[in-house]
Amino acid sequence: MNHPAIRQRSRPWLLSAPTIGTVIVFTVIPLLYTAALSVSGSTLGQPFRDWVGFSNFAKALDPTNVAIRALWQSVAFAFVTTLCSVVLGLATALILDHFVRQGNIVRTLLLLPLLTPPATVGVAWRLLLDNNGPINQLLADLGIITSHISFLSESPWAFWSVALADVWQWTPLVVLMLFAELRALPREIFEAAAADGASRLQTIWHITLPQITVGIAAVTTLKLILSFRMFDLVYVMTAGGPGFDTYTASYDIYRTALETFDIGLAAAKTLVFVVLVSVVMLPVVKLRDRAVQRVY
Amino acid sequence: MASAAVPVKREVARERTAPHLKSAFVARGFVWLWLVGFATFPILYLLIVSFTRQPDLLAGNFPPPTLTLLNWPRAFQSVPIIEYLQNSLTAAGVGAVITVVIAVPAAYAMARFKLWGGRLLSIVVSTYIAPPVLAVFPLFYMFRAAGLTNSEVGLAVVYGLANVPVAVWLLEGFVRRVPIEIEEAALVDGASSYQLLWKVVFRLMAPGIVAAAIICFILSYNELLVAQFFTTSTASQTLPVGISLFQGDRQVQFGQMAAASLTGLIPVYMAAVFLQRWLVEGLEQGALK
Amino acid sequence: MPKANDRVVSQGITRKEFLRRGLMLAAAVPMTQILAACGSEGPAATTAGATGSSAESTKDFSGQTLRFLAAQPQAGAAELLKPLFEERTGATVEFTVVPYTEIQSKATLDVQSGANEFDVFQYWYTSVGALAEAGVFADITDLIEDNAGEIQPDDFIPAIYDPYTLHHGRRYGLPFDGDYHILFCNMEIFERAGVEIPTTWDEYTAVAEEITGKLSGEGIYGAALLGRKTAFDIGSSFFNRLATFGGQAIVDGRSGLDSAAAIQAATAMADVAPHALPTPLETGFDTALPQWLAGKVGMMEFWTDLGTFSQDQENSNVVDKWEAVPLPTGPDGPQATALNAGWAFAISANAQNPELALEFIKFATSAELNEQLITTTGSGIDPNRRSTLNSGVYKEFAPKVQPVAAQVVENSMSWPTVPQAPELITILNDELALMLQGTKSPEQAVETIHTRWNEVLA
Repeated sequence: MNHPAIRQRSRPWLLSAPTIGTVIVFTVIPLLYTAALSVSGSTLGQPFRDWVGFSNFAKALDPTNVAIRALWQSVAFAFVTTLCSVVLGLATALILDHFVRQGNIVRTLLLLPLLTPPATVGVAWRLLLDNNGPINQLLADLGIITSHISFLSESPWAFWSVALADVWQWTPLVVLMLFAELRALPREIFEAAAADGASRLQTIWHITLPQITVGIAAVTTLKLILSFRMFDLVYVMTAGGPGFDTYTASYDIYRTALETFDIGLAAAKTLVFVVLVSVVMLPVVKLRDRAVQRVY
Repeated sequence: MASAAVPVKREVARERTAPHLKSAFVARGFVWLWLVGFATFPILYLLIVSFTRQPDLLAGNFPPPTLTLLNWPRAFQSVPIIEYLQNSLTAAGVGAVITVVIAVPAAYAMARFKLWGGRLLSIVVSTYIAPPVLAVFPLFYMFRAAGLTNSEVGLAVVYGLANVPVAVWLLEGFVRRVPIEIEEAALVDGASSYQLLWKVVFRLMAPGIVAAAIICFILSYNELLVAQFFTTSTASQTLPVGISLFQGDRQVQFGQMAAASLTGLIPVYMAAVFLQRWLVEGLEQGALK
Repeated sequence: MPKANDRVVSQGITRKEFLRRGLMLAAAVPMTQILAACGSEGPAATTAGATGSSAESTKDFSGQTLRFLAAQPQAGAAELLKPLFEERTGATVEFTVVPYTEIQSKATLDVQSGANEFDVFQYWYTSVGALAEAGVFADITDLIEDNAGEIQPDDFIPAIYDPYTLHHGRRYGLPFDGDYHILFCNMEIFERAGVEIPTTWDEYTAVAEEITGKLSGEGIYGAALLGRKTAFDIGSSFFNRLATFGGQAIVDGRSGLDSAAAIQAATAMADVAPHALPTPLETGFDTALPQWLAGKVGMMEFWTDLGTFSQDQENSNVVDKWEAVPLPTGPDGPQATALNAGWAFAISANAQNPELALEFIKFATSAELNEQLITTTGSGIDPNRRSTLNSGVYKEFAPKVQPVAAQVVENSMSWPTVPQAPELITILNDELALMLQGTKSPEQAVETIHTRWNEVLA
């Protein structure tokens, strides 16, 4: 701690104290509560009834139980939507950077999906994808289909429908962040490349992308975290269905806690989920750190 | 990177080696159309839904053969939207202020001093991952003991404190973008340490602070689960709670629900448009470390 | 809350009319009290007791507030209750509406955290076991006995009264809305397809197939099968069939689903699914209702107030084109129905004003109120008392539905009401949804349900 101004070592900790206090109250205490619940047989009406050891965890990790499937589908959903968002977002940002001079109007429009509450996003897409909805009608009018597709209650479609709604909502975030990065790049590099006779694609591949690697890594991390938390879309659009095809861990935990009221099991599932997400995110975070180190 | 030297990013209109003017124009128009269309069509669709008669909606007649204005007043009659909206704005607004007040000093400290070798930041941030459904119960007991349930103030406090990890994460990145040379220069000029913090650093962080506040505002404004549990009367319930009530009815009035949703969206959107420069800068700089 | 507006219907009365009548009635009662009170200062007033209304005398609760928790689908009824009770007792009524999925958690949290925001809870009857066991509801067995004259508990239809309120032999609530299903047939569609009203589930499937085969090109389907995974939908379809195949849900605290009846019930659902309104997995009561009213559905199992909805000139294309009959049965199954949905009122164990709360639930579940509610379009309330079910007013209001209801309601199957009921119902919904999706056969689904139910009940 060699900051010139702040001589006392305790100052930084004092500044952080309210935050630390908040985290303790809002995270540590619920975490302890969750941990205690997870080893007890509890229902909402009668919490902490008796000690059940690890049987809740056994149920949460039971392969014949749907909980494992929920975990897997959460991971799949997070990575799939992140991949789509980042690729689409990057492409869009590159195109915009090429065509657009002032960013203001673009930013304004792109904010709309981001600001919409996830529940509203879910409702809008549910109506759009309805059996009699506009998308089915359009497909029928274009002659692509003869009878409607049940986007939300037929097997491969349901997952992709929810993914589509999620990608719609979050791709603008990727676009905004990468667009800004692109805008910050100095012109000299591109002028030099043009002088050397590089084609557009070569420029993008060899020059632009390496420059914004940090940005891409950062936005990927952010989007992944957001995707793991996704709940409203499933709740509004498919209720985990058809069957369990769009059943994710966050929805599973919600149901276990508030529909079957087995909060001991829900607590165990929560802890398992947190551990899983941390583990899954480790390589991602490592990649991002490496990208940052290379640049800074 | 050249950008590291510039604390606040400026928008630079760049010139490009322009291709043929006409095809550029067409291509630009095409891009615009796609962008505008894709980003806005679900919301525009909701707008149309809010003017569609219920029988047309259920039969899937799109575009609707006739329009109706009735959904809007009926939505306001069914659910006290204005009151809910006020509650939402209060809870989210006050919450954002609380969040910023708590997070800014901590972000500064963590960025400049790498507390615990940077692990404190990671711990704080990772607390955001877990699904909040179980946290609601102990928090409810705590807040009830403090008499803060069923009030917008109580809700503001919950939101304010719950968003601290996100704000710290965003702001920490901002602080790092403020070069330490500026602080050192201010010290040389004779500023005391508090003056330093207040005048120099916060000023430079201002766009980041505004951005973090806006983002936290949005997160709180759209929040549903905690609001449902913590509030029981119209005086304190928020708009997401109100909108959720449209869904459980025997005949879901989608037109009214769309109207209510759009009503909630409009003030936020207006504010965001107004503040969009800071907001976007906050998004960019916050995560790019 | 979104509700039917003030429309005049060919039978029955509008909301405004109902309110007017109700207010007159409610107003008449306090008047006698006020007169009696005036008279109590001096010699007894001669007008005291000379009340023309059939209502019992009510105490004056002015200045006090009653707070109750209501479920979203019942919001309309709550709004009707409020002014009537306020007029009657002088108390102020405040109610909070929440999605029905939240009632149990909110009530539990309210009582257990000591917040005690509510005096009265409206609840879905299947949660009576859980909520009674958790100490959320007050045991009102004795109160009911003491007030039996007013409450007339024997008037409640027994098949409804017990499941709705009993837990371990004690009573925890009073029924408000008795919900059960009967079969509605669109006779115009039947004529066009040349089919007859089915009496067994096999006939039902055959009729559905016939209608869909002939008319699906016009968007008309033989049946609407409620198959959505949420509480009242897929479960209703199953219990309708389980009851009429002669099956049992719970026997002696264990699952009763290892019976042939259970498998037949599930199979019947799977059999009709291909011919039903697309797609059963997405069909809930809120999406099926408008299709029926638009004349796109040949047969539908639904609550009795579908009759009222169907006769509503403004929103229905099937006015006078339908018939109501009991649900089809299995080959030797009984004529029956199932208690699908169904609401009751309970007093909070920590009610701040238990006397007022008791007064409220007495009023809300009284015969006179039930009679008024069941004859009001859009109230969503069905008869839960013998007197109201068989009253002249109701017969006049719903002439087609009343005889069918009277025929089957005494033989209605209750969903589980044990404390583990929420989990049991979730398991049931999940497995049946898998069956409708095609992932499991009816036998597999029922077997899984049976096994897991026993695990939970153990």
